[in-house]
Parts: sequence; C-alpha cells; structure tokens
Amino acid sequence: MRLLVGAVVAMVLVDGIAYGVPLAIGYVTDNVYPTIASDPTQVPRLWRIGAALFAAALVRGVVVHIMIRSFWALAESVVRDIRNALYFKLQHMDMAFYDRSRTGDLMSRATYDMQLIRNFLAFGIEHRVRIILISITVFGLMVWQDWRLALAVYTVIPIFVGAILYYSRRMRHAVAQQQRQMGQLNSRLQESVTGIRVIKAFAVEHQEMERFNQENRAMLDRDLSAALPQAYLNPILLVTEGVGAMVLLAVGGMRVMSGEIPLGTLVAFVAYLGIMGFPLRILAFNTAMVNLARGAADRVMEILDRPDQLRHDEGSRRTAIVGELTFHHVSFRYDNGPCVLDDVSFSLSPGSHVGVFGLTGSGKSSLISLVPRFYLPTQGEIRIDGIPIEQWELETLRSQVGTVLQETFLFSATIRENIGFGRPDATIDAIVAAAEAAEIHDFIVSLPDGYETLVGEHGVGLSGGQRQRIAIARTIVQNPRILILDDCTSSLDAVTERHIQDQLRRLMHDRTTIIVGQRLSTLSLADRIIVLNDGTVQDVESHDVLLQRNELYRRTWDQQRAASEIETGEEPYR
Amino acid sequence: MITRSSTRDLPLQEERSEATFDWSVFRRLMAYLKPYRVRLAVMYTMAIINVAATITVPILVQRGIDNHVAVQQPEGLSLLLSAMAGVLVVLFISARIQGTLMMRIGYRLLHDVRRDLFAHLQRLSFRFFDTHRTGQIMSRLTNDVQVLEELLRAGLDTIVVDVLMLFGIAGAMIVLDSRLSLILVVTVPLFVLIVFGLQSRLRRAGRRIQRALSSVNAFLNESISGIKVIRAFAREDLNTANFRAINTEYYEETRRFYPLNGWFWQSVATLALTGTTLVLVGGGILLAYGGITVGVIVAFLSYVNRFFQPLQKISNMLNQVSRAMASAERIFAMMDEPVEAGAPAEWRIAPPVAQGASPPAEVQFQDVSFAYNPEEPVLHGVSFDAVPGGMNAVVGETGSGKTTIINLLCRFYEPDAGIITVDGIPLSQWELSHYRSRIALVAQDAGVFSGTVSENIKLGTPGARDEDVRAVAEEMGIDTIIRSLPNGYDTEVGERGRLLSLGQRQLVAFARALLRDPHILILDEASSYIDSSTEAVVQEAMVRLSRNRTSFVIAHRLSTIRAAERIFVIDGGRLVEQGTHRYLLSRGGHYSTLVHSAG
Repeated sequence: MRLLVGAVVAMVLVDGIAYGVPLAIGYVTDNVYPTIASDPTQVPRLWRIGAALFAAALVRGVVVHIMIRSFWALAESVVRDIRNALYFKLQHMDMAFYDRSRTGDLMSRATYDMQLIRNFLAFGIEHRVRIILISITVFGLMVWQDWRLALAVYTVIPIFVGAILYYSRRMRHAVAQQQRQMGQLNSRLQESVTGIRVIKAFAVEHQEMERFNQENRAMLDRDLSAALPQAYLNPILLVTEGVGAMVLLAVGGMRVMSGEIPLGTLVAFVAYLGIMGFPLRILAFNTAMVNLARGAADRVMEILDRPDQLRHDEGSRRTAIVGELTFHHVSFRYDNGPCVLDDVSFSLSPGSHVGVFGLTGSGKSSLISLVPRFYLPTQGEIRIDGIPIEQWELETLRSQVGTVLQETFLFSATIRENIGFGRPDATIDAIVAAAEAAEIHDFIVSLPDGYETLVGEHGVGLSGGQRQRIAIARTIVQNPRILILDDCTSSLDAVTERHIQDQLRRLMHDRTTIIVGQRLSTLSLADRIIVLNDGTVQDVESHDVLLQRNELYRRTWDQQRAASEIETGEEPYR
Repeated sequence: MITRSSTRDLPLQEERSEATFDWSVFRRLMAYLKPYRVRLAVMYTMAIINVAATITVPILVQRGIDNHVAVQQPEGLSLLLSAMAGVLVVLFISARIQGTLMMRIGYRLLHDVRRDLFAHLQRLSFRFFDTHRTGQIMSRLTNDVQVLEELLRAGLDTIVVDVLMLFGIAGAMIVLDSRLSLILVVTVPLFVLIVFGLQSRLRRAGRRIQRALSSVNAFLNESISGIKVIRAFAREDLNTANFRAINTEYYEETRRFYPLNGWFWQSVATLALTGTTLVLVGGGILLAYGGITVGVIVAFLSYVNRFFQPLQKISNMLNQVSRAMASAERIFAMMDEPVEAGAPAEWRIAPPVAQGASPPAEVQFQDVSFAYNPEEPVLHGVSFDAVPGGMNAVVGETGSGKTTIINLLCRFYEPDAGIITVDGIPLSQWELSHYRSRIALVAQDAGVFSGTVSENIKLGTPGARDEDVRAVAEEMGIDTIIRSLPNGYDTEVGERGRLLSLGQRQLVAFARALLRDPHILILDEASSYIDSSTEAVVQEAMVRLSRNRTSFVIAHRLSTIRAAERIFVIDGGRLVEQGTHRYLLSRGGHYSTLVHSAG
C-alpha cells in the first residue's frame, strides 16, 4: 500500500514538472525573446530560467526513477502472491478438475498469463492513469491560456479517441482467440513430443506435420486478426500531432495576427501538443495490454474461483487409523458420465487383505480412487474405522492410505528424495531399508551417485521395473495403515515379481490391503476376492469358493492355469 | 522437484554464455524473409516516405510562424495549410501500408519457423529425444518463438524507420540552423554512454530472472503432471512451501532488475528535458546575436522531443534483438541437429505395402552390439535368425536388453557394430519411412493421442475407413468393449488418452497395429495391462493374425510366449539360448530357471 501511494505521488510529480515546461517556453517567447537583442539584462535572465529548467530536469529524473521502482516492486510482489495462491489452489483442486484440464493450458495460465498480469501492474496501470491525467491537465492548462484555441484543438481529439476505442474493441476479441489457439497449439506440440516413439514407429510423421500445420495456420490467422487492428490504429496516432499543429497554425495563427493572443501562447500550445504525444502514442499499446491482462486475469481467476477440495474438506478427525474399511451402498459416476460403480458394499476388518478382480472397464480403478478420497462417491458412504471418510482430515487420511499406482510417476529429484516422498523427514537408514525391501538397493548403489542420483525427466533413464520398485519403496517408507496395490507388479518379469510379492506380503502384514489385479498371481496375495462386473459386486469370497461358483472367475482361472500347466506341469500360483 | 536444491542445480536451457550478435544467425533469420522480398521492398519504400513526411511537418509549422504568423502575413497561409494536409495524408497512408505489411510478413515468418522446426523435430533421431527433455524441446517451439514474436510486436518494423528518422531529424536540424544543432553533440553521446553502460547489466539481470523463472515453471509443470502421486502421498503442503521458496527466489532476482530499469528511465527523462532547456537557452542567445527566428526554435523544440523517441526505442530494441538472437540461435541449433539416419528429405505418405501375396519377412541379427552411451554397452554380439511368418519371443530379466533389440529392429537406433537385415537387405539400406510402413509396434506406453478412439486406431493407416476400424475391432473381439464407451468409437480419449484406462489404451494400440496389416509385428510387453480374460480374446486373434507375419513378442508372462515358434533368451545383453519352449525346458538352462521361478 505504501508502495502504491509512493508510486502515485511520484507519478503526479513526473507529469507536474512536465506541464511547467510549455509555460516556461511560452513565457520566454513573449517576455525574453522579443527584447533579447536590445535589452542586455535578458541574457542573464535566460540563463536563470535555463538553470531552473535544468534543475527541474534533474528532479524529474529522480521522480521517474522512484515511480518506476515502486510500480515494479508492487507488480512483482503482487504477482508472487498470486502465483503462490494459484499453486496452492492447483495443489488442492479435486481430481475431476485434472481429468478435464490439459497440462499445456494450465501451464500457460500459470506462466504466460501471470507475465501479462505482471506487465499490467508494472507499467500498464502507470500508463493508463497518466493517459487520463495528462489529457485532462493539458486541456485545463490550454483552456486557462486561451479557451478558444483549446476548444479548436480538442475538437480533433474525440475523432482519434473514437478510432482508438473502435480498434481496441476489435483487438480484445481477437486476442482472446489468439490465446486459445496458442494453448491448443502447445498441447498439440506436447503430445507430439511425448508420443514421438509411436509416431516414428508408425511412420506417420507426415500426418503429424499436417495436424500441426493446421494448428499453425490457424495460429497465423489468429495472430493476424489480433495484430492488424494495431497496424490500422498506429497511423491514426501518428498524424494526430500533425493535425493538431495544423489546427494551431490555422486558428492560433489567425488569432496571433489579429492580436488576440501573443505568439508565446501559440508556441506553448505547440509544446503542449508535444506532451500530448506521449499519451496518444501509448494509448493503443496500453489498450491492447490492458485487454491482454484482463483476459489473463480472467483465466487465472477462473482457476482461483473454482471450488477446491479444501472447501468440502470439513473433516477434522486426525487420529491414527486402525484399518477397518467399509463401502456402504456406494455408487459413483464421473461428472455426468455413466454410472461406474453401482451400489457397491463390502467390509474389511483391520489387517485383512482383499483382492479386486474384474475385466477392463469394470470399475476397479474408480473403486480404489475413492478410498484416498480422490473423488467423493455420488451416493452411499465409505467408512474408515466406522467413521465416514468425509469426517477425516484429508492429509491425515491420505498419509495413512498408501497407493502403489499402475503408472509410476517419479519426480525430477534424487532417488533418496523420491523414496522419501511421503515422509520428507525420513532418515537415510529408513530409505535404504525400504529400498532393500523393494529389492532396488543393489541397483541404486551401483549408480555413480548412488541415492543422490537424479531421476525423473531431468535424470537417468530407468526401466519400468526399476521405476516400479522405487515406487514400492516410496510406499514402504510412508508406512500406511491401508494399502492399495493397483496392479503394480504387472510390468515386472516373473522372477522379480515373485521376489517383490514376498516383499509385498511382508509389507501387507498387519495392514488392511486392497489388491487390484488382472492376473490371478497378483490376487493370490488376498484372503478374499471381490469380483467386480460392470460396476457391481458380483461376489466377495475366497479363491476356492469363487472357483466353484463364479463363472467369470473360473473361466479366467482356467485360461491362466492352462497356460501355466503346459509350461511347467505343476499347478501355478497357489 | 522435491527440494529446492535439486531444481536449482539443473542445467537450464536459458543458461548460456553472454549473448553476442552472431551474423550467421542473423543471415539465417534473414533467409526466412526471402519469399517476402517484394513486399519487404514495398514496406521500406513506405517507411522512407513516412520518415520524410514526419520530418516535413515541423518545417511547415516553422514556415507558418516565421513567414506568416510572426510577421502578420495571412496571405499564403491557407496554401501552406493545404500542403500540410497533403503531407499528413501521405503520412497516414504510408504508415498504414508499412505497418500492415510488417505484421503480415512478421507473423508469416513465425509461422514458417514453427513449421520448419516442427518438421525437423519429426525427423530427429531417438538419441536426440533421449538426451533432451520434453520441456526443453517444447521451449524451442513456444518460448523461443515467442521471443521472436515480442520483437516483432515491440516494433521490429520501426527499427529501420527509427534509424532513418534519427538521421532525418539530425539532417533537418543542421539545415535549419547548424549552430543550434550543436546541442546534439552534447546530449547524444551522453545518452549513448548511459544506454550502453546499463545495457549489459540489464541483460545479465534479465538472464538471471529468466533462469529463476524457468525453475518456477519447471516445478509447476511437474506438480501438475504428477498430481496424482502428490495427492496419494499428501504432499500438498510441503510442495506449496517449496514452491513458495522457489517463487521467492525469483522475486529476489527481479528486485535486482527493476532498479536498473529505474536508472535507465531516469536518465532518459533528465536528458530529454535538458535537451529542451538547451534549445530554449541556446536559441535565445542566438536570437540575441541575430540569424535565427522564433519559428526555427519552435521547430527545434519539436525535433528534440522527437529525437529521443527513436533513440529510446532503438536502445530498447537492442535489448530485444539480443534476446531474440539468442532464441534464434537455439532454434537454429535444433534445426541443425542431425536427422535420423535414412530419413527422407521430405516425409510423404507411404502407403502400407500391399501384403497378401508377398512372402513373410525374414529378419536376421548378425553380431549386433549396441550401447546408449559408450560406457554402458547393452548388447554384445547378438546374432539370430527369426522364424519368417512365425512368432518369435524375446525373454529375459528386466534390464537384460530385450527392449533394445526391439528399438534396433524398429531402427530407432543404429547398431554400433553388426548388421540387421530384413529380407536379406541391411536395415540401413531401407528407405526409413518405407521400412517403418511395413512394421507395427505396440509399445508398453500405448501412445494414445487426443482425438477419438477411431482416430487413434486409424493413426498408422491413413485412408482407413470406419468400417475397417470396426472390422479389426471385431476380429480382435474388442468391438463390444469399445461400443460400451460413452460415445463408442467416437469417444474423445483426452490428452495422451487419459480418459481411458491403461488397459483400454493398450487395446487401442493393438487395434491400431493390426489395422496396419504389417509385415513385421512387434509387441513390447504389450499385454501387461489387459486383463487375462480380454487378453485371451486378443491372443486368439493375434495367433490368427500373426499367421504369415513375422512377429516379435517381448513378454514377462510365460502364457504369452508359450505359443512362440522360437524363443530367444537374453541375459546381460547376450543371447544365451534359443529354441522352442519344450526344447528350452528340457535343456534345463537359463530359460528353465526363469520358468520355474515363475511357476
């Protein structure tokens, strides 16, 4: 706030000093110049005026400095705060938001749009306010000196202002479309870069280029429709000063010749036109910029105004979880999509292990994403230790529900940091122990930098199995009470899978565990198996019972067993 | 992204040595203007007219004051005024044509740069994509092109006009009164001195800001793409704190930048007003000795005012130009990256080769060695003959080199030693797009793109019809699965296919490969996410489809590979065994160890 006051005071001074200059010029023209050849006192007088003007020049420089510094300081600190708020918001948005949004679009809001807002605050406001202040003050001063001449000059100005407003309205619309197209182009690009392996394998580069070029051509059109109004506007601004001078010469010249005003007034008016040149020159640029910033602010606010999870995070329970988990008539759909889960009910006692079996699209992934409250059920209730999950404080809940995901995501950080992701305070011993348990320790120490090796997008490449094992170690360190294994061993080779399963069995000990798998080898870790079909629970039974009475389960079992028996001649998986 | 240190120490693309003006980069950029040279010539003709008109206006005002107003001589003033009106009309028209042409040429140039860069990107080798991050590549096409755009927007058109304007104004001042124009001798060098003194400091500070900003953006990017993991581990608060720290670091950098900006504008403001003062005082003294008129002083006042505008703009431009040159240099560096071996100069639609009658492909590895980086060899002298028209399985533990064999077979990389032949012809002699049009790969990462399910299946087969897509899906037995999606075949799959489950993505990738009807079918751990019931359906279809088609399968599941006609067992980058399932089991070697540990 203090910054803003300082900035505004400095701004007023900057222009205040500028207004004095035409007055001085007018005064000199009328009172010094006419007699300077004859009156010897006039030259020292002129020197004094010159010295005063030079002092004014120095002072004006200093206030300009203060003004610019204050506005920039203001802009950078405001933008820092908005960016923090935006990040906080993005961290707490519900998962459905991320399902709908494109990374490229979100990034463009958080980067490009923020930059536009910064520019607006750093010099957009300054320009806007000065445009208004200068026009009004100069008009006032002109009226004060000669109102007839002032009116003559100012009859021209509305024409130009009208033109500027017309073109900037056209620009505003065009700029919004330009931004949208930019987001689309970037998303297209990102996909193409990340999917390059497939593109190359299928030799469809030409197709990709065609798709990109379509977006690129559309981008050119959008760019031009945003840029051309500006190109139309500039010449109008360029001639303004000339037209003003013409009017001055015609009307003012006549008035000087008829002796109604002194020559100095006319000269001062010419100088005023020079001052008016600044607001007129920047008006178009400023209008475009304000429009850009307005669009940017809208897009940023759109995110900031969206309801986040914190708002329905009324839960306040922060106790340790024992591990009882109940689904009570739970139904779920994404937004307005079809029903993914329909009236699902089951109950797990603490420390029990249940498998979830179902075909692709049967709702397995949706079911487990409800437990850490990535989504809220559409109907019904999920309870942990008998308490509805809405009543648990979100962080308490999630830090005690561990998930090993199907798709591993490692961050650009060291292996140590990735394994300690859920427990930033974990000791190196705990991390090493977890890595050993996940059978990745030997590999890690074989790397030149060991646990300090960078992974993720910036780091060394890891195979799918290695990534998966780091992800498992990450969950071991987290030490959750409820464990969700989301088909996490399917990309490992058979030998490693068996090793990992031993480790998982140890990890599962004493923890309530949900195991999702398409292979019965994975499900063999479970005591009971939920058979999910089309979003409904078909059965909850042990393997042996299911084998006898569940058709879907038996069919799959037979297929997998047949495959194995041929190979080894012994009964697989059990 | 977990701690600040790990983000800060990353080599960032913006980090580079002092930007210097590189003429070769400039020439290359200029080469992009070639197709527009006629328009460019028109533009600069207009610019010269524009400058001349601008300079004429104050002279006309001076004439008006000295010849008419000051000496009470109204006759002829109307003629002068009409001349002025004429000049203004010329100014308006020339400026409009000039500005419009600049925007058209400039944005077309950006379009051309983007087009060429993207086209080149499609032809780059896998090594390039291994060693460059997605963000880094993206930044060439987005940020760097945007810097060029900013240069355009900031008024690249006027930099030449402004230089002309400077000389024009200086010339006009000297002609009007050579003595009074001496003020230029005082002010201009002072201005130039200040500008260049601050420039390098401003540039350095600007670069530091860029670096800090890209840390902020990298952190943001990962936080968005890794949101699910962050959620699962309840890291939101810690991440927010870390982000704040990085953001504050950026903020601190900017605090070093804007005081410099303040100094710059302070000197501009002081100098401009000093110039006016000098004209006023100097003009008065000259007036005392005679030989100058009030009209000339008025003209000088408006010239001095105009003189500093182009000067400011040019100095501003120099900054922009050096940034733009750095960006252009990075863009061209990427365009200079060697293209994939065997890539054609121009990609064209390579229709999949008609299969039917042609005999199945013969694939042979002869003593093939390969390393991604020289210190860590991955394959050591691998030799084998694949069964033509049969299913060949590659088996081995994680990290044994299976995927590398597939990468070489797809010719994503060239072997360091040895030869791979297809139908007896070395892979390096095949025209690349022709060869790839004969293969189909189903990779572990399904590579589904935004668009509909149907579009994704058609990806590798330009010109395929909806009936063909349906036929393939039916053949594979996944037609009903696709129909059960919200919009069936027309369901939008979202960015990178994220609205589909992993299993569904795999099915799409399968259908895509089969629609291509390839000579060589390559499945890299392709079925790991498909549930076994669906997989059984798919497998059945595959057995049928791999008839008369040489296929390679990498799978960890023995059930997937038991049907293979030949199994290649890889261990530590060497081929240790090969043969049928039964033969290898009876041999009691590495394979049987693998099998028994799985059973």
